[in-house]
Amino acid sequence: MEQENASVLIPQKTSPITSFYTKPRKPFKEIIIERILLLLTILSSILIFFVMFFVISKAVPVLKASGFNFVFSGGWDDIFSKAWQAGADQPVWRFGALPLIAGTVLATSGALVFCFTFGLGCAVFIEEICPAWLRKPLKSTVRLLAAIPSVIYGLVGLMTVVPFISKYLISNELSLRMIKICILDGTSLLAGIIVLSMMIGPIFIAMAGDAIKSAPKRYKEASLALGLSHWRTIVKIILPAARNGIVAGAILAAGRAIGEAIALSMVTGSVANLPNPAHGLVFFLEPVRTLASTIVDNAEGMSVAACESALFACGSVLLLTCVLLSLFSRIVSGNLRQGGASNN
Amino acid sequence: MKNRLLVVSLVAILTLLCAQLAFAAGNISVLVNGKALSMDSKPFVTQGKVLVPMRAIFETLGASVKWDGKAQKVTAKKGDVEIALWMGKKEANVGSKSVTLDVAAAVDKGRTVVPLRFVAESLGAEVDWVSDKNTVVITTGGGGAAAAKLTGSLKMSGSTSVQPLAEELTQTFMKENPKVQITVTGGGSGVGISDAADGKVNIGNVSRALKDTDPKGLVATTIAKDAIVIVVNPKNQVGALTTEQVKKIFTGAITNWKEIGGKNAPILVNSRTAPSGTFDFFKEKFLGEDNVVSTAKQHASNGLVRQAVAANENAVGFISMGFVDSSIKAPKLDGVEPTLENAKNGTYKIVRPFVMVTKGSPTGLAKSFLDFVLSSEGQSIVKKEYISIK
Amino acid sequence: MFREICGRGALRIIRTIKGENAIGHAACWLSGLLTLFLLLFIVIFLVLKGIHAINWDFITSDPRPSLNQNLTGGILTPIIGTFLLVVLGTLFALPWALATAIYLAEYTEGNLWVGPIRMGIDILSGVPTIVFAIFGLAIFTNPHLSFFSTMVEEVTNAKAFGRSFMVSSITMSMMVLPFIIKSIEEAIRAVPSAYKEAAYGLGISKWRTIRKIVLPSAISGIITGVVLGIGRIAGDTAIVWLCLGGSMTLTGTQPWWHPQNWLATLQNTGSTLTTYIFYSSPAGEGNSPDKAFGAGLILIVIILALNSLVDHWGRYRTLREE
Repeated sequence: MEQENASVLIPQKTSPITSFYTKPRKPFKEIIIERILLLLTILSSILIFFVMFFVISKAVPVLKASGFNFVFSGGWDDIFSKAWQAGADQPVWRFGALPLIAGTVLATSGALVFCFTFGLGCAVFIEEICPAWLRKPLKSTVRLLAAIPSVIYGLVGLMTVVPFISKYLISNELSLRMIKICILDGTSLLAGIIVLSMMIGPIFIAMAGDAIKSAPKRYKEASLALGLSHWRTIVKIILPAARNGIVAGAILAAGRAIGEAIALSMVTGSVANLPNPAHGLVFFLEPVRTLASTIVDNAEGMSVAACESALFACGSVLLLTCVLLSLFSRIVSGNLRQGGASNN
Repeated sequence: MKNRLLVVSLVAILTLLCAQLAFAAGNISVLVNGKALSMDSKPFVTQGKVLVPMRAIFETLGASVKWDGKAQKVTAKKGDVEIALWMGKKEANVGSKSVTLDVAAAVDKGRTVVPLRFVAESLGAEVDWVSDKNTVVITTGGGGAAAAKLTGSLKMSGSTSVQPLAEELTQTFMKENPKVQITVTGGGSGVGISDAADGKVNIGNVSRALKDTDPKGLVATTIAKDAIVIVVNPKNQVGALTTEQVKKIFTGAITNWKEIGGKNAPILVNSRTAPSGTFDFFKEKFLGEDNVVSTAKQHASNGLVRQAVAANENAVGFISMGFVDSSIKAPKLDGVEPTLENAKNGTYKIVRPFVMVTKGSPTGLAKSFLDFVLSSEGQSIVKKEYISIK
Repeated sequence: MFREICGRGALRIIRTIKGENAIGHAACWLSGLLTLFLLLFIVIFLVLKGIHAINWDFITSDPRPSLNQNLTGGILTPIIGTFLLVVLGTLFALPWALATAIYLAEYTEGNLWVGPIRMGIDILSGVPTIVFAIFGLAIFTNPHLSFFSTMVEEVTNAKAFGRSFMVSSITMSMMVLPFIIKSIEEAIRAVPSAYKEAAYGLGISKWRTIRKIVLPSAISGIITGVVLGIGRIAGDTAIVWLCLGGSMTLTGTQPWWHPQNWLATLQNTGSTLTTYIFYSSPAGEGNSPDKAFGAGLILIVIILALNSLVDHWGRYRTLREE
């Protein structure tokens, strides 16, 4: 079966000249080179499995002891401090990372919503609407914003967004009412969402812009020729055609957001608090902490085996999530590639 | 074409940078008994010999120097020994002995310069030329000379609170012992302890005393003390707290500033992450068996706590005294003003040790370094921003 | 049912006022300008806060540990640290990425297992840097890998220190590898196949064709990939913070600029601009926020320069392709 497959494939894809000269007598040197390249290629491909194996093997003690409770129960800070104080004598292995996972999901999805609305608008603006003289500066702006290190976003967020929220959005009464539940001082889910959207927005804009640009020109021309307005053409024709690329961009941005550690440890509030939707809009002002920033904040705890394992468990949850996102994005962009082929 | 230009300009910039560095390497520095000597004219190398300014070095070593312009003669006197030498001549008198110089004494930028070797021969000091550091090391007396011979490397990791002090101490130590190389990294007190226990470092920096739960076999050397102060926002009306009130605030029993004489506003508690040595010490001093309230913010550094307190009128936190500045204020604790003086003279009691831990008793270079830290010279560095142990 | 009717009604109203077009355009203008404004805001904020910290001394002196901001010195060693990490990271990643990209672009025709290989690389590109950081930190303390950092001396059962420029740059190279591979592969695939076929037709071997024809044609794409990788290395904080030890100055044998000390410098720790910013900012222990902003400004300038370099190469490439 395989042989058949191969014999069908090769003559089709290889040009006749190539096969004539390279097939019959491959020099020894060529073979060696090909083998070396293959080896390096396989190495870069299995690197991920090496990382996964190592991180997960370190996380096993905690994951095994906690089971599904790791994902479904809370109380991270208390357990962590108990595990730390117990030291090596009576290790505590049962951790609950629900608030951290919730914090990660909330901050990431909030930022995604934010940058999906504004980012898509901006991408459409750049590719379709904006005057020609503005296009280049705007594109450079987006690229530069995407290249600004996250620590700078964190710093700027800490010095501007956090004080702003604490000054204008949190009243004394509100803070007083909530004091038994959580501390409202400006470092919050909202601050995290804003800083994250500033960070991943440009990445999304760049990807979405590329997708919009590569939507077939004929569609647009046909639609305009039929008398549809430019705006309706954008909404009805161009965006649907670019859908897969936009989704792939959003997934990429989500991956970056999930893994962001330093900037979020500066602005989201450093406490494993589970925001309660029952509090209405106050929900967004409550502090959270993400998985990645927990690793940075508690890196000091790595000297106790249980704490180290717990942090590696956070790392493996992050890793597995990102692996799943990558696989998902592969499926989507696979569709994209097929779609592109049929359009041509 | 444009690319070429770009490459050329990049290369030019790099070359300039390198030139800058090479220039920096040309500066020779002089260490007398471990202290860098500031001189108005620089030492330089000629005919393969290092020439050093005479007056600055002789006076630092306790000799008086006189210049006789007419005879072109320099006389120096240390104790009973009188030294005489002449410009442009290779002969010199040390006491009643006559000595020949490698290179004649000369005048450079208005200062007499003499060969380095002469300093050694005339004043009995030990002189060493460390070529890879462009440094002249002059030592007098037995102990100093032995210390200058130290070689090897040390690794330290641990508390970020101790790190600035440790870096300051190692920089001085490395200047005095140019062949010693010390690495100081952070990580936190817990990392310092486990790294030292695991053999990942020679010395672990820890900002609290060792506890029973720490790995066995570690030996702690207290190198300095540091006060922990409770801090609030400068706008906060509360000017004094008691230990009891602090405990109630941090365990969540009091949640309104009104209850302790402030205005009707919530108390926003800022704490530190569990592995931090500062937190361990605070818990032991104020909370005992009780836990910090679960809503408290858990910050990873002194700086973050200060930023949080400075940014919010209702916040409270605890930080190392060295971090107190005008953006926050430290209320009286049990009637005592938390100042460096009060901490030094023992009136302010919330003081923790900075310790350096080693696996077993310190040996070799680690011992030499700790001896230096505990010496009066090391402690004078400690005194600048922390509390010395004596 | 009621809601559906209301929804349709609202939609019809919006359509009938024919404002849809204008509203959409306005929203797009708004988001576009918001992006511009965001950049301006960040840059102006950094300039206002950081410009007065920047002077010649700031750039050319080493950081000094002190709680007094005026005595904390400059950022010479963090700048050098960034430079070292970038050069070393690229040196590790480039040959590896080049080999992989060449193989993927030129040798995989008809191979069925190229899919899984690609998948591995794709997934690697999605791994968060913090995960690479704990991975690197944990793996390089193995005494057998002590060449990359240093052995701890005078201690029984000693381990490797596990934190150094080499450790962080190897970890960094793993992080940037997939991005550089992707960029180079695209560049190689963009080389017109007529070039190759002509070479084959002349009887030139495959490897020689790649070396003499394909790679030179793809050079600008390769450089773009490298520069993008450099940007990521220079901007990363998590790996540097955990794997470079967080000491402020270069801790190898001094003076570091002497060639005999270079290896020692690479085996020891230091800092980069990003960790300097983190450490000096109000979020760290370094206690010198003005200098953090100054360093941030300088980092942005460096990244701006890198970006214009990419722009430059990109333009060059499109010009030539046209």
